[in-house]
This record gives sequence, structure tokens and C-alpha cells, in this order.
Amino acid sequence: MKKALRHPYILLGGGVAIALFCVALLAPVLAPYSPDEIDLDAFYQGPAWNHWFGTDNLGRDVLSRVAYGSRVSLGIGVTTRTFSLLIGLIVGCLSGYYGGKVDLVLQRLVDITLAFPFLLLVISIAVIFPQGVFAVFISLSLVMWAGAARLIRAQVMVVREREYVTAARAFGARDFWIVLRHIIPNSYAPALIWWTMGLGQAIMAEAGLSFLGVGSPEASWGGMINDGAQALRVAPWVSLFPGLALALTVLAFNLLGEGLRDVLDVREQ
Amino acid sequence: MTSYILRRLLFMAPVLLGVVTISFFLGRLAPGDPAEAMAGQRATEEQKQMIAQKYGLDRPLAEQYLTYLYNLARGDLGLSYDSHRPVSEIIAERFPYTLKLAAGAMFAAVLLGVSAGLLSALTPNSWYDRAAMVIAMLGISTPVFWLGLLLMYFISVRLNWLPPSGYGDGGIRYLILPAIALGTQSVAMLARMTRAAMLDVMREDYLQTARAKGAAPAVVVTRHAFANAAIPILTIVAADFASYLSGSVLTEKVFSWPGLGSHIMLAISQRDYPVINGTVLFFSAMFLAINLLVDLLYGFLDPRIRYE
Repeated sequence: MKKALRHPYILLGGGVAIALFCVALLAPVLAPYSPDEIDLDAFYQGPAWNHWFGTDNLGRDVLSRVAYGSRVSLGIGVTTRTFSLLIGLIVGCLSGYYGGKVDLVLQRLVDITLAFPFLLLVISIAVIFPQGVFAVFISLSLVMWAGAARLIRAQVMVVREREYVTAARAFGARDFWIVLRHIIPNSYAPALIWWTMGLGQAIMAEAGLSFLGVGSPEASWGGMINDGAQALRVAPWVSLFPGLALALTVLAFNLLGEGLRDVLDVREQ
Repeated sequence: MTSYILRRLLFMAPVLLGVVTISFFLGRLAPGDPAEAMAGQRATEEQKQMIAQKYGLDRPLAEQYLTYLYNLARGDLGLSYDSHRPVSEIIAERFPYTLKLAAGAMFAAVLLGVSAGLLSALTPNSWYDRAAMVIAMLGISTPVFWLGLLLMYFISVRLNWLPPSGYGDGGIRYLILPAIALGTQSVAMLARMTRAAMLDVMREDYLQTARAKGAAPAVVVTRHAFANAAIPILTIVAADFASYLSGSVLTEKVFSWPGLGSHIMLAISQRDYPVINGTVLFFSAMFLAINLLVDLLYGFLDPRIRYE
């Protein structure tokens, strides 16, 4: 823990991440305007004192929209990663612990998911649901679990052969107990690294969906970048600021993941 | 070796069947009636039915699926609902554009990434090394579509050096910006991989031996170190190339590039299932084929690897 708190990547990435979560939580207090407040007299105004990040085609305040957009990005990022880790944990444990036919079938499912073009599979699932945050969440989760399943499976297969697991089994411990008591605690480090490292990817994918017009209709960074793309010549700030926020967020989580990998590296133990 | 290739190809079959099956049924789960999309909103019920009949959309789903598989086995990807042209023809027409973009991106990424990584590895922990790694991290974290817009704004709109978007006359001037935007993510990965692989190799005994017997430093680096570090680097290059092919959707949209990526987005919005399914299958097959090629190339580059 001490080692973690001294790692520059964790300090920097973690600090920015905490600040971002604060912005997301306090968006209604921090944002000077409502994100959807239209002011047609003030469209495409450049950055100024009353609108720090300028305004968009409908005169909406870009700063307020960026602040509110952090809710979509972080919300989707955290929920998708957690849910896909949960699916991956279940599939990985079943696959690694039981082996045999269960493993064969589940691993083919993982192979198929990974063989799909990532973004296209996400879009194909997202368009099934009514456009919104839920569609983005479910489609990303149903694609991202495969990586976690593969990781957890490998971890389970190592732990399964350890002597204390054999001992537990000899004492008559049930499979469920062994998974819960021995296998999951031993997989927490790679799982945490996986969760953090992919957070940026999930946030980026969410923005990509919004940019392509199949994401959430609320103020989101990808959607704002797309709005601004139409007016790049006259109002570059409409795309610039949400993009900066997006890149900063992804960078923070990548640094954090990188730092955690350094500190928790399983190979070094 | 031959039996290894055969076994790998055999393994690909069920994966591709899974891809086809999932993309077929995902398409049918999506709301919206393709017959209506084709006929237009003002079409009468009869017109819609005629179209549904013509494309077999009125048949039970299981029958449609089996028909699709049967045709697929004969190499027939079906007709586009929108343009009524064979899907294979559309893919053949659009794919070269995507391939060109991917090749350009790969070229930019390898040129910048490998040389940055090499320089970093030769001077580890110097200011240059640290700066390069920070820039690499920034590159990974920048969304490709936003970077594309930034490049477009600064290089094309402000400086007027290159055309902002489109394919134009097919000249290299039109390729540069989209290729850089798409390639940047891998520049970062490649620089880091090159650095790590080189540092790993530099510790090996055989480099000590090479130096001891008096080989020139340049020869040690290129002939002894880089040749061995190239193997893990190659994995990244190949994996990225596969992802460029299917992941060019965003870049193609930003730069109005007429490739397969921008076409499949159009197909998705039009519920043009044959085009969606055919393109997804094509991309997945490419992905698996490239992975197989990389594994084979390994054995070629590193004779220590034996296929079983």
C-alpha cells in the first residue's frame, strides 16, 4: 500500500481520477449553466468570461456540457468494467476449474467474441436496444467480458494445482467454497489491473459510439466531438474541449493501471 | 508444419461459424423491418410483402439462417438490400481503400514507433527515454477520431498544408492525415514494446559474447539485438494491422474515407443485413488469418520455435 502511494503514476493518475469523479458528482453545482439550456442568440461563441469553453450550435455552454458529460463517461466506464469482470469471473472460474467439455465450449465462445471486430460487435448489440445509456452499457459489457474470462481462467488453472487447494479438497471442501475462498482472492491483483487498464478503453469506446451517433443522446463527450466536427472551421472549441477532457480521463486511468501493474506485478512476487 | 496449418485452419471453422451465427441473429434482433427500409416509408403493404418475398424475409427465421449458411458454403454472400449488388462485389470494391489506409497507418506507426523505441532502449532512463514514454502514453490515451479532427484543424484548416478529408485523386496527400490519426495508437504501443524487447535482449549473454568478440556496436544493435527483439514487436504490428482493418470505422468517418468501415456504418443504419453480416465475417476471417500468418512467421524468424 505504501509502495502504491509513492508510485508517481498512481499518484498522478489517481489524483486526476479522483478530481474527475468529484466533477461528475458535483456537476450540477460546478456547471455554470444547465447542459441543455439553449440560447440561440449566443450560438458558436468563442471562449470568453461568461462561457469559458465557448458555446455550441444551439448556444449551449460547452463547459457545462463537458462537466455533465463526465457523468456518462465515468458511469459507463465503471459499470461496464465491473459487469464485464463479473461475467468474466463466472465464465473464467467455470472454465478453469472444471476444464473438459465446459472449458471447451466456453473457450470457443471467448474465441468467437475476440474474433469479432470489437467496435462492430458493440454497435450490432447496441442497436438492438432503445438508444441510451443502457444500450451502451450492455453492449460494451457483452463484448468486454471475454478478455476477463481468459485472464481469470489462466489464473484459476494455476491456483487449482496449488497444494492448499488439494488439501482443501481432501478435507471435503465444496467447489463453490474453494472458488470463493481460494481462487478469487488469488486472482484479485490481475483482475484489478485488468479492470483499471480497460477503464480508459471502455470510456473511449463509449465516446466512439456517441461519435458515430449510436451512443447516449445525453450530453456526452463523443457526441459533443461529433457536434463540433460539423463546425470545425468556425467553432473548433466545440470539439476541442470535450476531446481534451476525454484524453485526460483516459490518460489518468491508463497511468493508474500502469502504476498498479508495477506495484502489484504478480510475476515479481 | 503442414499438419499444424491444417489443424489451425480446422480450428478457425467453428469460430467463423460462431461469428456468422451471432451476427446473423443479432441483425434479426434489431428493431426495424428491412423490407420497409428497402421499400421506403410510403410503400404499401403489398409492395413491402413483395420485397420480403423476393429476399426470403417472409420465411421462418431458422430457414433464412440455413439458406444463408448454404449460400455461404457456396461462396455466395448474398445481395445488398440497398444497392441490390452482390455483397462480395461491394467488399471487393471498398476493401482496397481500407487496406490502403491500414497500410499507411502501419507504415507511420512502425517508422515512428520502432525508431522512438530503439532510441529509448539505447539510452534508457535518459531525458529522451522519459519524454518518449510520456508521449507514448499520451498517444495511447488520445481517441483516434478526436486526433483526426485536431490534425484536420491545424494541418489543413489553419496551415493549409494537406487536404482536410476525402480520397481526392487517390494521391498520398490525402492519405497522410488519416494514416497518422489511425497509426498513433500503435506508435505508442510499438515504442514501448520495442523498448522493452530491446532492453530484454540487451541483457542476454549472446550480446555480451558479440561485444566481447569485437563486433561493432552498430552490428551488435542491428544484427544481434534487433533481430531477436523483432519477434515480440512483430506480434504487435500484426495484431494492430488486423485491428486497423476492422477498426477503421471511426477514422473513415472523420476523414470521409470511402472504405469498408464507412460503408458498414451506412449498412447498419439501413438494416442492410447481407452487407453487415458479410463484412463482419470478412473482417473476422482476416483477423484469424493474420494471426495464423504471424504464428507461422515466428517460426521463420526464430528457428527455435517448433510447431506441434
